[in-house]
Amino acid sequence: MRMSKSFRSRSRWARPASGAVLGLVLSVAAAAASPARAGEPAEPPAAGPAPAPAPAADGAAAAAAAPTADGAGGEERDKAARDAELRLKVMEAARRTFVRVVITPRWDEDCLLESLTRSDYSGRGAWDQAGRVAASRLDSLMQHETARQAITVPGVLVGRGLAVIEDDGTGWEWKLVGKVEIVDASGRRWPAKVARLLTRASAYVFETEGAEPPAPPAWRSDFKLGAGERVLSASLLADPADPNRWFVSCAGALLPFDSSPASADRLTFAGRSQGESGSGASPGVFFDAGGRPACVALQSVRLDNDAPAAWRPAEMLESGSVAWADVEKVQARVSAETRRVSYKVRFEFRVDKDDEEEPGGMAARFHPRGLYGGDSGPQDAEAFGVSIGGGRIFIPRMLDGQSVRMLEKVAVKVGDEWRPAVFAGAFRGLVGMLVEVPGARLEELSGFLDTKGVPAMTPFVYCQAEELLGEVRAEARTVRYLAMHRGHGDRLRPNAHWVPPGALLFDLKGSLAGMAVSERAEPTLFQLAGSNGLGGYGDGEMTLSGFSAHRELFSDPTRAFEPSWRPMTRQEQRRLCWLGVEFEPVAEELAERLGCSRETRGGQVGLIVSTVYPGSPAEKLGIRAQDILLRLGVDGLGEPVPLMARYAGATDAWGRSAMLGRMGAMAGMGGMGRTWKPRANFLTRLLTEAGPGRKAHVTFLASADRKVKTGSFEVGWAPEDYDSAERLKDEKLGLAVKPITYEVRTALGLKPEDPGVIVSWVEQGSSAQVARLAPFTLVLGVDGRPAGSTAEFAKAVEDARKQKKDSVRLQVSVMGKCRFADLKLGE
Amino acid sequence: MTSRLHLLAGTSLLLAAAAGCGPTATSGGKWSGRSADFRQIIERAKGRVYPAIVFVKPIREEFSGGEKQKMEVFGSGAIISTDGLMFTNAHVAEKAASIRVVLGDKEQYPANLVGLDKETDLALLRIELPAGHPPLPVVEFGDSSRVSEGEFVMAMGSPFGFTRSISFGVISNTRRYIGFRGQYKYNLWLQTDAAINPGNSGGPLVDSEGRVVGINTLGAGGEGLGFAIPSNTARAVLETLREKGSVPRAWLGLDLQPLKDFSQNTFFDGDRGVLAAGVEDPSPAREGGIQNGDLILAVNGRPLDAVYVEDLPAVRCRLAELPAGAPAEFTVRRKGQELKLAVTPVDTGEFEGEDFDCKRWNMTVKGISRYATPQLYYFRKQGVYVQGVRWPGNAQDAGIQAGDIIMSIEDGKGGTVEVASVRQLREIYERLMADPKREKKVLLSIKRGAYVRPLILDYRRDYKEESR
Repeated sequence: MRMSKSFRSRSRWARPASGAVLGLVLSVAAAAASPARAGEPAEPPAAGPAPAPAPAADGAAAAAAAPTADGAGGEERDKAARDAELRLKVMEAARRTFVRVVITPRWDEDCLLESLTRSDYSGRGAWDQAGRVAASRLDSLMQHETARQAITVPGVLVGRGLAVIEDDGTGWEWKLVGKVEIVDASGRRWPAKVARLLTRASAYVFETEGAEPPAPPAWRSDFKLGAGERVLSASLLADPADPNRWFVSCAGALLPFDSSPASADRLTFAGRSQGESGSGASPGVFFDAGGRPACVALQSVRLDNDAPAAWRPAEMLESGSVAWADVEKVQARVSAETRRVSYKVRFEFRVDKDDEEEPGGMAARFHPRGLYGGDSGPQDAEAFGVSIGGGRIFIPRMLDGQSVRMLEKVAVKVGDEWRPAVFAGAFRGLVGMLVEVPGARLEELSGFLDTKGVPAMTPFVYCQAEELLGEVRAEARTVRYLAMHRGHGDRLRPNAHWVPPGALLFDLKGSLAGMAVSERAEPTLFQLAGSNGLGGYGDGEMTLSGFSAHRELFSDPTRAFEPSWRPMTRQEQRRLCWLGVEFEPVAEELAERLGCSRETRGGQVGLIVSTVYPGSPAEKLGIRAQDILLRLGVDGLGEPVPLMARYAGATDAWGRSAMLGRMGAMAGMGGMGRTWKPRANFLTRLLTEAGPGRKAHVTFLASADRKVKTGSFEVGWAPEDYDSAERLKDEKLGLAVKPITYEVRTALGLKPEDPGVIVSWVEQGSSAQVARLAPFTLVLGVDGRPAGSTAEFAKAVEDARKQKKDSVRLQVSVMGKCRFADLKLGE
Repeated sequence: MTSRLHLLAGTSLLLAAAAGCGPTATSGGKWSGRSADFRQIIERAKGRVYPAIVFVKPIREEFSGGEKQKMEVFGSGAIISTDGLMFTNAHVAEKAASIRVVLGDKEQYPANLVGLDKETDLALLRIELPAGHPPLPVVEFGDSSRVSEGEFVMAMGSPFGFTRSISFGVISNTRRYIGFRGQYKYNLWLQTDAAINPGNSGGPLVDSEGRVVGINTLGAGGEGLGFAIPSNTARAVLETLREKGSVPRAWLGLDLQPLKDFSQNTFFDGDRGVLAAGVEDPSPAREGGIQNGDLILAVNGRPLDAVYVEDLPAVRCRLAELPAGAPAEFTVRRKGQELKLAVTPVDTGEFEGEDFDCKRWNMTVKGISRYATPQLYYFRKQGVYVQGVRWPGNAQDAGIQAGDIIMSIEDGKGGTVEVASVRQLREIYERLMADPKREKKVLLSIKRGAYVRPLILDYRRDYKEESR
């Protein structure tokens, strides 16, 4: 049977080591850490059960000793025979110890719809959990529908009518559990239900219903772990190729589990499929040399490479448990509590339309990326956040820097109405944002639990609100706690890292313990460079934090915000920090010829400066055209980054078609192309993400003396450039003008004192077009007055209107050719 | 295969067409008393002009494809002197390695270029007649200033290579201006709907008396839209070409704008003078003190008026005729005040730059010129640009593109030199090619758009050899 691992959100059934069915050799838990003494509750292990010297030699020898062991000596043969005999005894005992717990899924339309609609939420990273749950549910439903298959998991009979199965920490899909039956090796079936959740052992206890419950085998109650007694382990496995065939396995040998006559008729064909997960080999059971079951081994949930936990059944049952019915009650309470303090937040983004209108509009098109990544997100995005007091809501997800800058409006749904909210900030060390709802009375989180000293394996309930199928839901699921995050203070580490960020964490009493947040390390320059300086940060490592860890953060969040991640106007957003150069990538041959193969690592590193802008940091550092930039470092952002040629991007197209295509034509008619590149290039974006105010160091090879030099400068804002400059649009005239910014001046060879503004857009059929103005035409003066800035231009036009003039006379210039153009003023 | 078919698509031309007047009513005088029988008209024209029509077949050297290529082109012309002088268009005869002409479909002879003027698109050729050849029939010029709209005309020539063809139409306009772009600033045009197709270029436009009133030059791609150089203009230019081989003109650096500019919807008051809308820097006009916006009223005492755009060619001709090197007095009005300024014109120089084929580099270069490549000229007054890049080729492989300005290059002697002329580049190219020990790579820097960048041109591959 294809073990429907998908039935669980994430099957962590330990797989047999090599895909083939093998008995697992287990090491036995150390005495100190194991719940060895009867009747006493186990000590909470400091870091899980420690491995004990395992009597693995036996098992290994037994496994290694092939049945065809040569007669290397009679003694050995005797030993092998005795081993084989023991194995058989153990396997027969295993038949009486293990049971199959057969779970028939029930059809749940809600789950079906949920699964299908969730595919629209293409999440990524840690946020895929919801998607995975949905996928697994869908899988189970479909499997049941189409194959009429039930799910079988191995269980161990530990008491009269009591069987335990492992909790691999994901939590079962209890929503889909229909009928449960316990089936023993003889084929007898009992209806059963889940009775208890163990809180120290990661297991569930099922109880059979009805008369004549199955009797457990005689467990050794006096078994001492770690006392050097020889044990053999066995487990119950399914055949990967045929889910209806089960085996008990011990030390590499297999014995069919089902002894019922029905199963004898099953035909088996060769060619088992490998790789498909066999059913898990847990729980396992240790048997003593007499073939008596001694303890149960739970191994799904472990801290790193620790040994599995071994329990004597009696202790296990008494170690701590909660009635499942109570768990369900807590989950319901938790769900309600979560819904109470969760609020839906809507983000609306700016739409920058005028980019599309502008010809040669090479400005980076800013599209909001939404919460789920992707290149063109929706114009608005919604998410749930948790109210943390003081009218503030914490949203545990992150828009990326770009999108935050394009935020226009934020609203929070309180009750039935949408209330306007303010974006307070995005956290630097966490994945999360804060919005404030002024003047609103919001429900608040209350009652934080101290999570110190919590024993391992303790179940917690996590819950997060979301909107699905037209209603707000909060599904509560259990997760097992493993340990404190070493060195991270009050941070819990769950065994499962699929708890979604922002999920609230509650203990089994329903008290709030913490929240799941993703941490984020400040990116290094290298990461910024790799992400093309676009400010995309990877998902941080997910941690479940005790709330107290972040209480400080939340009480004074402004200190923890990322300063450059805030809503900006279009103009602000386009601001760039600069070094002040235009560059081309270096190439291997060129580097060789220029004699700098070594410095440029054979042409892999290096940006050749083609232009240095006056007044820029580059100019001040003495960088000249033909110098080669090699390395850039920024204090506080890790190591300096080599300026690889590949970062320069495609720079070839500039100017060519603009010049050539219009050469024969239209001199004097406007129609010049755009010959300057956008200022947003790899270098400027990197510096912008690094942020103004930081100290930066650039290493470059000076072409004059062939020496490698390093210069330091403070990262600062560049003057406005063509794409970021505010344009002045005069609808009646049908044109828009921009100031002649520094890179345009350099590109057109204009002196700093030359007055003028540059036409950026002309409307078809307008008086500007009729006067033969075209984009990139310079306007030098209006009605005899020089137009040194867009404001002067606007004033001159306004004055003309006031004087009730018919038209304004512009003096325009294209490529140095001047003429006059009358523009009819308004209609 | 050309007469240059200018796709003067663009509202400017249409606007000009729209702004032009419709055919005026004829005076009546010319036609009265004469028979308007078409057959007679045509017979007369044919008799007078046909024998002198020439089918011109130059082999042109083209450099725009990245290598020097030869192409056979055709055009038309007509004989104006019995010993073999003939006219055609400059765009037919330019850059010709050799020219053959066919006379009357019965004889073919080589011809040589005597002179060429790109501004008016005229060329003067001399047919190489064998000794003892009888005198050739010639055409007679009419007076193009007396031509009126609506008059019947015939265009003769070799459209699409169909020699000695006649097409028939009327004069659509007698004072058409199409100098909005680089060329044709010094003359007006006769517009006709007689079919002017590629191949007709250089042929005569003949009136009903059989006299040449224009030289067919341009078709506008639309049906019934053709342009001819008025015969009065052509005669003057051809005469100058015969004497001097070219038409010397003076350059002042002025961009003129008429007072009433319909194409740009810009109107100034008054009806005297011409507007100096722009003054180039540097230029004789700038040096003389003329500023943008000055109204030029007179030159050397004689008034100069350009109220409409059609008046501009005459004004330009007057200015172009000023002797280079001799100061001329300009009377200028600025902000209500009249000033007298002395401006010393200079010689215009070549219309376009020299061509050169860098064979091994698989690219052709050309000199930057003020008139032919004003946009490049704006950035580099004296320089060389890449005219064409052959595909496949070494320049192509190096990433060089047509339109790149070659700023500097290794000089073959260990240093780098700024490239200012084609001649200089040719010297360097030849020096590099002649040095067998030299590594076949050259470092040069090009300016593309606003930015300068270095490039290695690797010419180890001999593409032309391979393609043979």
